[in-house]
Amino acid sequence: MISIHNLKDPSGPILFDGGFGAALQHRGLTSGTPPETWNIARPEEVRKLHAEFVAAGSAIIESNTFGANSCRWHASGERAPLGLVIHEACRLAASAADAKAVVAASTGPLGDVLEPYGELSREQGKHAFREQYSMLKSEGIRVLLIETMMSLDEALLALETAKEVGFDAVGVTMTFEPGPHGPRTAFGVAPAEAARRLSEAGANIVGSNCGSGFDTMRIVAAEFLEHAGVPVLIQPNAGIPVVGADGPMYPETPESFGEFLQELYETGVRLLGGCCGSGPEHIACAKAALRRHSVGGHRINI
Amino acid sequence: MTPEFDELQTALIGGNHVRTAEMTQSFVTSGATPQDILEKGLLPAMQVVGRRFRDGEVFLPEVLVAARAMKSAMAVLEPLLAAAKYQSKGKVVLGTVKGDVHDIGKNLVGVMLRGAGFEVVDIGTGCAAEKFVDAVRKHQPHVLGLSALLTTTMTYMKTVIDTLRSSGMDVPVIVGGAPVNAEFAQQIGAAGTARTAGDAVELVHRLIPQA
Repeated sequence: MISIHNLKDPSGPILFDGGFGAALQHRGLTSGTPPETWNIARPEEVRKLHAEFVAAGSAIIESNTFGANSCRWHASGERAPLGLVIHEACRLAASAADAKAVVAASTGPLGDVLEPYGELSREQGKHAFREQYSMLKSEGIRVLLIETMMSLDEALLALETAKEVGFDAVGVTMTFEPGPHGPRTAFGVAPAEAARRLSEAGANIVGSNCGSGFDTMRIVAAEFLEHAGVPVLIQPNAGIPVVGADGPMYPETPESFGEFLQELYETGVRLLGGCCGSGPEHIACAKAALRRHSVGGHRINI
Repeated sequence: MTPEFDELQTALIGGNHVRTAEMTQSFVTSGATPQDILEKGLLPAMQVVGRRFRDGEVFLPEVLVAARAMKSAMAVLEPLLAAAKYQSKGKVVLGTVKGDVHDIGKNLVGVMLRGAGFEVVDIGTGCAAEKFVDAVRKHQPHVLGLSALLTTTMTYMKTVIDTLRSSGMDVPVIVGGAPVNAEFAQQIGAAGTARTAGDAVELVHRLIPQA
């Protein structure tokens, strides 16, 4: 099993897992139902998906807790107590990790916009982050990932709160879309700015997840590598989904996804995983691709 | 855009809600009709913001502050429009679908529709299909608008439309949100979709011909 020290100072590639919610939908979770509800309703499916990622080569797996913050959870009308949802999520991930993988917590934005642009006060936002992170910490989580952030204000508030709660490592990844002046988040944040500000604010890992396909992610990753003072984590979607009546279809195959992660590794990205549309087979292909290519004449041990 | 409203439009596009409300009030005081202020001043300015957002020239913060300025102007104009018995052009129910808590796009469409003279009933976020059915039964809207930001929740729009149709309701449904496109709208049986809130108003106009 990799150590937290490896994560903060990786010498070779470290594989994370793929997109959890979209994979659960592929397995029967209906659209409109939060993926976290399956921690209680279908625990065997959640555990199985984690286990498949571990078997595919994920050294880090992420708990099914992305939307388990009080703002988002209660707005979606769910009644199950958050503490129970988070407890079950961590238990299932730890059971599937089976001492072969590290369990990191997946967390996301609050779903409301912070003042001054939105109605949510900093105090309310901080309270919601603190509640979720404290619950995760009390379940034994040592690595916290703050993902799919679009507002730098909110990302910095989440990071500050996570550091106060106290984890061995905190990672922050943001989501970018292509634009006329290069990739930006929906709030207009450029990758270079995100990399600098988040590194300076004490993130142990910075990078990007989700987003708009490989071409944009290639640019985003290069900017993070140039401007981040800490290891970079890149977790792309399996391409830009084409959404039909039956749900999203992701265009990248496990093979093309694996080749792309290998390409990112060659450019210097050490922490690699996937987001929406990437399942265990994508991670398995990434592992195979990383093994196949030797970089600088050295075989990669992964 | 009409030159006389230049300053008002600049205030709105810049998101200065205090100045926007003040200038709206001073136009009213100097005798401009609320309809002119809206249709020649405020709405074209909001359309500029919508186009710049679509084209990646401005981002959500700029859109949110402009929408707030628009709301502050509407607070001045709405009592006058009501007093003038400015007749509603039609009724629209809006909601974000189940599993999705995002409401920026929906709120913006609501602001623009109200500004264009439609009556808007906003039933909130995370709405199950049954909630849309109940709202359509209760409010009898001319058009129903569904919003979703996530690729994982937008397919729930089909569930809503299917539920409406199986309940015997034929209200035209429009769908919106970053990942939504015309092919998707057509596949799920929606009457249409729009890229910006301004385009959504045009779409509603087309669907309610007398409007």
